[in-house]
Amino acid sequence: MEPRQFSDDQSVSRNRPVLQTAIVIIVGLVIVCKLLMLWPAAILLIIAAVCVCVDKAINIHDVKFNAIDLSVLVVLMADIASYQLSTYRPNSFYALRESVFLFLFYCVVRFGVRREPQWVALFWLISILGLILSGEAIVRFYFYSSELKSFGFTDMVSVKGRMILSSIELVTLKWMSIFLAFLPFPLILFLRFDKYKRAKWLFVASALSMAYAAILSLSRGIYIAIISFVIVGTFTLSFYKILPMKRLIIFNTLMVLVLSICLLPAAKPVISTLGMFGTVSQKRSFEGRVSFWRASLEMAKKRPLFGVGPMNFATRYVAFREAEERRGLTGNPFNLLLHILTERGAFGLVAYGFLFCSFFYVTCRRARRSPNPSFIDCVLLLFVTSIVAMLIRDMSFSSMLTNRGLSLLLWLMFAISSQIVSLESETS
Amino acid sequence: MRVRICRGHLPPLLTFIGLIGLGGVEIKERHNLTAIASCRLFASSVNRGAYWQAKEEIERSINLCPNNSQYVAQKALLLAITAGITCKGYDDCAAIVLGRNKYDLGKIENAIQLYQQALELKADDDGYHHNLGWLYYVAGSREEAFKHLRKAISIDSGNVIYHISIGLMLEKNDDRPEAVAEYANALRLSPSLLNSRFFHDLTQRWPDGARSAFAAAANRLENEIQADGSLFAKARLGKFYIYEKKYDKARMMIEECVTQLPSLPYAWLHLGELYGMIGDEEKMKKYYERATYINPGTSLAWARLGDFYYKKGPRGEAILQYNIAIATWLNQVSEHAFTYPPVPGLSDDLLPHHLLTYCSPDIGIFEIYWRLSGLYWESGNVGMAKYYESMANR
Repeated sequence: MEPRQFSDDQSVSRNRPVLQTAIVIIVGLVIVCKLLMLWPAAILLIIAAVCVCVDKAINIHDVKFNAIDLSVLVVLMADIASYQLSTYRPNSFYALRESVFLFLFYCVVRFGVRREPQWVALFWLISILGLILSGEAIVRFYFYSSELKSFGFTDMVSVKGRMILSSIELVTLKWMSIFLAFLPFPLILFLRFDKYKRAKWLFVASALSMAYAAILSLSRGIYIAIISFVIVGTFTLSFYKILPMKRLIIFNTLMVLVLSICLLPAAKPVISTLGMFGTVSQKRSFEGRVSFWRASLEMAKKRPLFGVGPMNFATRYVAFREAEERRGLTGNPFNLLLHILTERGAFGLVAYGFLFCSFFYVTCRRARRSPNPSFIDCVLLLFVTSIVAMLIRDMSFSSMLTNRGLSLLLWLMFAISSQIVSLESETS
Repeated sequence: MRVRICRGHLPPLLTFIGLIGLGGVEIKERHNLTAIASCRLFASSVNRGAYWQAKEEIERSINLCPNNSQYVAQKALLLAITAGITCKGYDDCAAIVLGRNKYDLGKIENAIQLYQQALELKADDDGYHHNLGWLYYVAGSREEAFKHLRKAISIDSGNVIYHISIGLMLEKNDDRPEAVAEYANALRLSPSLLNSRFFHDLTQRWPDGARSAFAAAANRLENEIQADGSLFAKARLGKFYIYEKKYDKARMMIEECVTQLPSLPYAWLHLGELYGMIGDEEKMKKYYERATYINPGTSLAWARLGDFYYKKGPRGEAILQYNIAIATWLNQVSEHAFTYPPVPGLSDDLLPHHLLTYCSPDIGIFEIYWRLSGLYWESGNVGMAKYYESMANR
């Protein structure tokens, strides 16, 4: 797949290669630090932002803004308002900090990472990170499996609450959604470097490893999201003529076959998870979710416009839960929409709704159906596919608001998509 | 000079706004982190009994984050502890409610004010209401005490400690049927109470009340099982049968439960206890191990595993299990403190201090101290042996 040339920024960038390289390296470090939850992420981002400010101040040129830019700003405003109107600000402060961080990250990527080689470098980095993290999850899964056996437990699905598949995040359900955000990056590189006959299969291996790790989460929500990823991806890529349907089906069949063989050692729990409501614990888990959703709606009715404030769900939920409900820590209502509604109210829901709608509108409008598709069409479509899968996953969880690494990758997708759309219109 | 802003100025401008914003929140976050560090020091100072240092640390946290109700509440907790609302020997909580202790009323008044302040910052916090209930009770305002405790229960009706607190006060007020109802609620929610010092004291102090509460709780669980076959109710009722020494019935109920829901730690715990009573030590060990695997905070299971290794060896394993049992038993976390985002400070944040340990299954802590002392003597670790001996003599 050929890279698309953008005329405007390339000549300008050629004059400041050091600054451009520095920005992309620092952004890469920010991504690494944020995904691994290391403290210098904010400091690195501030340095990157200073570089972008200097870069843009030296060379002022018109930038085309679009609905994604506006919606990101609206989300920040909504989050600031939620903080101000929060029922308990010390908790909401953490969410405000995150919102400001994501906004600045968006600005840095949107205005500072404007060239295709820069994107490709970031995609490489994310693919490698995804490969490492998925490898860790796979190894941990088999350790956990043998540990369970040593204690005499045979039903892994029922006791998966103790399963920790990452050294970064202890809550497996929260962590594993991140692989849905990792998935498009190696696939984009696979399409980008399709001329490199052997090397391109390395990206497929990386994507397979991520899908494999996600499957080992034994989460029904993630399974449905992966299936959606495959269906939506196949449909969009063939509709926009990136790849013919036949080739996509062959590719997917091959991937499913390889995954099935690799999953043989974990076949029992995976089949049990695919059963959806086969065991008592699965039925109870679903009943628990329904109870959460019901109680969250009651909670939302109390403060419909502004909600209880970001990160206050856990403390406020105590008053709404059923007395018989299983006790323990609950940070979210297991549904993204309800999470936004209870914590940020209807205003928050409108703001976040605007963000996703503008993303889908802008990207799908710009992706072109042409016989000679470009690399950036493929980037846009795979981002759309990944975000659809994440949204589907978040109908039974709320990883976008709770998993910081995932939200960073999400905002990266927004920024690059907005950048692509903007550069396209500037070029035309 | 007129400055014309064109679209080209917007990218650096937006980035600059974000930069200033992030800088601001990061400075505030530094304050938060310092306050958290001070609050951690506060908790360790309280545990060491260094109350003056604890006071300084928590005041530093409050100065840095005056809007954080948690710090205000922790200071109130410190005042209440130093005023004497604590169960020093883990078994004299009832003494507080029965009026056998003396308190520093000045400190109690201050603690009440601080909890009121905390409630202004964070309305409807069940834990603050519960603690206010105790403070008012000790200060002699019974009506206010019941009002706050009922409020705490209305917010979180599933919290065992709240039912016990109000039950103790009702018992003292001679409102016996109400007290029985509250104790029954607590027993139904957590049958492990049957192994606690609280229930032991209750059976000594008021045998009829204990019997009635036991019967009422068991009756409700039986009704629940008849109504919807609840597995949770079965696991809980199994514990009641163990207490009554109806081992076959208990085994049937709990085994049915763990076959279908193996993730219930207390079901494994009850099964371990059952086999321990029957005398099947291998099965007892197996089930206690499962209980500790599913919930590593199950101190009773760790203690009984320690007993197993103490008898059968290896002795090193006994030392390990006993140490975990002591650590989990002494560092109990109240449901109120177990929240998100996690807050530092004393995890046992309900009044009277150590009520949690008083209401949790009794592991025989002093016997464990003696055994550990002996085990360390055997292994040649004189320092640890003397330490545990001093703990046992406390």
